[in-house]
Amino acid sequence: MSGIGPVEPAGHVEAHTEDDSDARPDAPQPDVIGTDSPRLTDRWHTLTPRTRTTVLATAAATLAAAVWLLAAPPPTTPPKEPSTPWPSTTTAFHYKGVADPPATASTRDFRFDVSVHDGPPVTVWDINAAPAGVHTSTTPPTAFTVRAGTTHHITVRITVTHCSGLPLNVNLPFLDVTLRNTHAIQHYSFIFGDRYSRDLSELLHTACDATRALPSPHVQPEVRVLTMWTRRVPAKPAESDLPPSSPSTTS
Amino acid sequence: MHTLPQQLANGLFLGSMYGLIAIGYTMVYGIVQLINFAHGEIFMTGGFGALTVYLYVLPDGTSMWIALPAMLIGGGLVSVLIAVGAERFAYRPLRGAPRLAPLITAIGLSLALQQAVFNWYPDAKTDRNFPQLAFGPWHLGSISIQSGSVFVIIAAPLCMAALAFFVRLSRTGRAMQATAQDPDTAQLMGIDTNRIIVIAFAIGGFFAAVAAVAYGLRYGQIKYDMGFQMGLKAFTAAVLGGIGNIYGAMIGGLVLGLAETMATSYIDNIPGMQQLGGGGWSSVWAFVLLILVLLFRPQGLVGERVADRA
Amino acid sequence: MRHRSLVILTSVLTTGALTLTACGSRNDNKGGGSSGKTEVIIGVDAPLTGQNSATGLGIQGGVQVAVDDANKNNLVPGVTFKVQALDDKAIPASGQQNATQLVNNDKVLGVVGPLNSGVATQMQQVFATANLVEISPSNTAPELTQGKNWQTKKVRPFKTYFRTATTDALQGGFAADYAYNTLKKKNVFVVDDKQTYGAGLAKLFTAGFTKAGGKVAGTDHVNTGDTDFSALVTKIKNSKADLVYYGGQYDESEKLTKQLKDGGAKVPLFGGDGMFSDTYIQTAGKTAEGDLATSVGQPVDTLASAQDFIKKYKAAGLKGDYGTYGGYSYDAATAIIKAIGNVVKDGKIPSDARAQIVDQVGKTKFDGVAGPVAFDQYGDTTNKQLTVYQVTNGKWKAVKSGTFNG
Repeated sequence: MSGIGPVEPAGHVEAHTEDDSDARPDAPQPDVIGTDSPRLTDRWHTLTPRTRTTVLATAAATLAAAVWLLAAPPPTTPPKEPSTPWPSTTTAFHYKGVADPPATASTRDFRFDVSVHDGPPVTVWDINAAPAGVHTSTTPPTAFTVRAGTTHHITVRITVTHCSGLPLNVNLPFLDVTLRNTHAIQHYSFIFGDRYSRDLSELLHTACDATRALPSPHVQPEVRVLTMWTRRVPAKPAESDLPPSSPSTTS
Repeated sequence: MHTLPQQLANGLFLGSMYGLIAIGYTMVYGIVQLINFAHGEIFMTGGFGALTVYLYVLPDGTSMWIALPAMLIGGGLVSVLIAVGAERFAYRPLRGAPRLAPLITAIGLSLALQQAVFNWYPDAKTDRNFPQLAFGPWHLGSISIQSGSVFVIIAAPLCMAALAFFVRLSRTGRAMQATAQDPDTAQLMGIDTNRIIVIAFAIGGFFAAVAAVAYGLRYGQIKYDMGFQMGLKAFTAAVLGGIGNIYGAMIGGLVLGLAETMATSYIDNIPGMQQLGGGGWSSVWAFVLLILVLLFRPQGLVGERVADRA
Repeated sequence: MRHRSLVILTSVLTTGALTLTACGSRNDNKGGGSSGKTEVIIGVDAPLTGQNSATGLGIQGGVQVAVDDANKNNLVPGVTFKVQALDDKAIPASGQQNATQLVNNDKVLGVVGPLNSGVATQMQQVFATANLVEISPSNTAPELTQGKNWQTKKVRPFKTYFRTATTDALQGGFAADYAYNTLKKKNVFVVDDKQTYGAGLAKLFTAGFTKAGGKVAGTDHVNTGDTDFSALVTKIKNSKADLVYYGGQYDESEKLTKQLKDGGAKVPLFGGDGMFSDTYIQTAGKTAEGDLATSVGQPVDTLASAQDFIKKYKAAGLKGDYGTYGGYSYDAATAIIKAIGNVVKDGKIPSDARAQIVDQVGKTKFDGVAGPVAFDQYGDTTNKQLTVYQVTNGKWKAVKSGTFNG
């Protein structure tokens, strides 16, 4: 505080509020005419010496405490050890394609790469291709452990067990995986795009179209699964309104 | 079509709220021929007044049965004070001025009130949660009535009946009718027209506060800009019913509420109209209705051209 | 006597004040705040008041924490960063005005935002013309990065636009799959708010859901700012839908779910990241129980890196919902700051700094608080994670998380 404060207008009755009392000490006191409330300094003098001492001591103590608090170095938080990451953040699944010609119409093998790029080893406890109605098994069988920096080639065999209620066209098929490392056990989904969804849909159609006479034609392998959206969703999705009875437009 | 009773009830609740606000427009217009566009904001401040009472005046955890009357009084007080203050300081000095001057003042006042709440009410920059009545929905045949709607179906008819008796039977009420018909003559007959105008603003303000409490109970939140849309709808309701006529305001509100509800529910079932129905179009249909009514009955549904407006 | 005590009082106060200023200046020095440093502004555009402001403030706060960190750690020598946050009120026209304002300020070398996809559509061109990099932590409409015809032919419309959130193509599909296969819902009522984000998401959800085999019991649209959904609720109840999907923001959905449950329709409401906000639960109260929302990214409590961020966010006393986009905003701002670090040397800003920064952001690659940060050729994040949350005991609880691998 440099001592430069607002110039107090003479005769301003409330000039000496607590905030202003630290104004330049050697400045001439303004002439105050007709002051009708005692000023702070006057009040101060009416106090008993004991009260004054107490007040000053308290103020000094408070100030000292404040200075100590502010001047004290901030509590140095020890540089946090990068805690163990959750398994899902270090693990990646990549789809590699269909393995061998299918053994039966209802079974197919899909190849995946599992890699862990960081942290402690991750154990893959369980792999499951989500929709009800399929059975999943893997080679190597779960559980297997992947160390950081390594990649495991695995094969996921999906067998269609029953077709009712099974969605034959899947946009975003995923593998539900149970991962475990030293930090946590986590249920996690790895979602796959065009290629896996195409291959999986193909399997589901091969397995189920015979048993379930579908009105719609088979999905051709080269037709990308997303085409359904392309046909149905107009160029400007925001500005157009589908008629409310959407099922008819997407059947 | 078996949803019809429920949809009628929905429309009734919504319309009652419009009607309560519309009273403020119509009374003020009936007496001083001023469209008080700040009335939507008076409605909004009533909501915040009630909320203030609940949050900052009453102790925490006060039962809603005790809190609700206090909130009504608090909200009413705020709304009435602002309405009367607006009349005294914004409109009265302009009473002899051209029609446009008070109208612009009203719009300016509306913006000022909105910004004042927005900037100075704690956390009003976004929705503020409103206390809720803690009893479940009631079922009446195929109609279910939410707790928040119970208040409006009780409060709106009560307010309307009280107002009707007041205007018809009390001395002040008759003085209001007289002032509405001919302010100059009324003054010559010894009626203090300034007082009557203040009373009209006050009643409008109080009804707006009741509507605001109903709004808060029904939707769970109030917001600094809620007065704009509700005010516009209520003004529409007042015009629809015949501005200047208090029964018209209530009827206009109900018709508007029902029209919006029906538009949301049934228009898109009409073959070829799917694109034009649903919640997003409800306001459009409400205004179509307004235009149609005004085409055939420019004075509104129950309005009369000149006489007996209040 | 009278003078003396005044002197004592004054000197005590002066000493105190001086001590305080001393502390302050030392802190400044530690932060490298000595003069001669170049000031660079990171712009923020988000709704800071009114509609969507809870999540919008989370974006502002996330950027603020990133900028504070950069200044504290002297991440870019010779540069002090500042945040300039502008409020777009979730209105596209305001967003465009803000964009113009940011572009015209030479000190602004990068912008984080906006929150709403609809606002983004009005801002992209302004930034592209000025070569100013823009990273949105939350826009999910696919066409922003992949062009209007993204389903058939992806074309990047603006090379200055990036985002750390994944798209609704993924989010809508993920939600649809969860609704059909996990929740076993077969009959959905779809409501949207007619905005770029809401309508787009609802459409993509519908596509995924019907493709999986589900049925649409009905559709309807609402206006942003609407409060009365009673007629819609009656419609939904009558449609016998077992799930309501809402494409839009929490402002409307929190009222919709309340009126839905109060109106006696005991079906959960499912929405997107616009609905994933603590404000939603606070407002809807018990009626939110069981409702679901997908959101971009992994839940913050599974990310070790995010814990530190949350601590800083809370310590700074910042407002808003950091849970939704705060981490992504931090990463977006950090990506810009790192790019600036590669371009601005010793506080000297080259004349084509903005263009160089755009290139640098495109090449960015680091581990952010919400996961690895890198952008593909469209400006989309390569870190495509999604989580389904469900309101359980008054809290959003992650029920399913997934990563998308192309």
